[in-house]
Amino acid sequence: MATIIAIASHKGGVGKTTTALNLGYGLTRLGAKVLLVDGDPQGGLANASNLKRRTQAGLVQLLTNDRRANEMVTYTRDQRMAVIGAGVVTTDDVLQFEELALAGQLAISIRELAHDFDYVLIDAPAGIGGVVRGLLLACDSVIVTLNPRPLAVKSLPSFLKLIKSMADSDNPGLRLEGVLVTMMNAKSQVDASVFAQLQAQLPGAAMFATHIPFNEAFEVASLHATPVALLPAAALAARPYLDLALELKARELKAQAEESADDSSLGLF
Amino acid sequence: MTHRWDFSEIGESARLCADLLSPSGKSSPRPKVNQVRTVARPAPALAKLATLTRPATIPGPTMLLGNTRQDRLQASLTAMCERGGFLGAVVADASGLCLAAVTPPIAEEQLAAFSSMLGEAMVHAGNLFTSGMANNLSLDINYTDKLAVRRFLFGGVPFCLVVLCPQTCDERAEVELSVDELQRILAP
Repeated sequence: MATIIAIASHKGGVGKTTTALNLGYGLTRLGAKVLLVDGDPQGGLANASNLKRRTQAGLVQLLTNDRRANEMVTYTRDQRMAVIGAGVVTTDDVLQFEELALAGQLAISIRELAHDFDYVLIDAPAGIGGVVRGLLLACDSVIVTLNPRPLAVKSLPSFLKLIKSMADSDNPGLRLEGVLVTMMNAKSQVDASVFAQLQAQLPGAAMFATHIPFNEAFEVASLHATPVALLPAAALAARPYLDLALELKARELKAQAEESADDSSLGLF
Repeated sequence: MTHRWDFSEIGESARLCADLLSPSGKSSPRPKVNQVRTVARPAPALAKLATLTRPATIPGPTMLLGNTRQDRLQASLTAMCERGGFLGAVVADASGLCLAAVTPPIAEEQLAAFSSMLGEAMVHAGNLFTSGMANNLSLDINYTDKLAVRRFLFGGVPFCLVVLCPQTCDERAEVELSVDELQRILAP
């Protein structure tokens, strides 16, 4: 069973889709099998991965047409990564998608899809509405993406309250994986100040040590509908997401070690 | 020009995060660096090496006969340990099933499962760093002993040979010879 992680935030345009695609690719480089789920009716991930050139069908069709899950998942050239779109084509589909999310059907389907993968990364739509709540029902944890800008920071508490509310009621297994700072412009005084405040005030475990610097290579990569690591000469831009994948794995291994720790143990031998 | 920003939302976020990360909360903490676990254990392999001699009766590859394949695997591992001065060894498949073990320092099922995990880690390391195969891993487990893991394929199926030996021991040649022998034994 995969670890299901939502990439989400209250504010739009903070790098959720970019993070889902590039973190997913980073995890495949570590040998993991990853499913990317486009949970946004706008279809950002389907566009970013060029899925729409292959198929328009997705979660809506999976739930309404009684299609088999493996028919709806499209594998990339690297067989370790697959994508499923939202399947929203018409305005009726949008309404249906929201209804399915609110009814918990979306969460059930995503959990069924997860069986064949090590990680499922869900690209959630911006906001704290019904679709996001429906998607968080399926998740084990949430990565909150955040630009180090005042307006983005203002929206952070409301999203954290949503996670807490979900963890307290509908999904007790839900936890905060961490806040990921994206599109960081180290030369900007505003970014530097906000980032410094985040580092100073947020608990260490709540914030990823890795942050994603702003880099135009991400724009170029989205034009080519590819993870940035597959662009020629984009190693510098790709590195932070590979670091993030490693940090995620390290956190996971540490958590596993802590769960299985036996204080009386004297080591392996 | 200086700016005075209101960072009250960060403070509020910090309180919410602390709440989410409280003992009843489930978020995994950020890994700490320089966290050293002290293991006060003797290093038995080095002591054993000092007492080892190379008896003339240690069976060579041609002498490794047995009724079953498992007998032959067991005999091959025993001979390898005696020739190489290894404290123990285990051969396991990718799922962690123990095929044969010689004086494993912990339960052979545990060591086999651990070997399989190390084998998988090597595949990941190969993918990450070389886009190829990484088949050898040497892991110092205390100040004097090490685990040497050799991943090998037979019929497209991965297996792991793990030996416990002193860090001063050059185990490569002995392990390579044994892998050839194990592959011959595994052949139908």
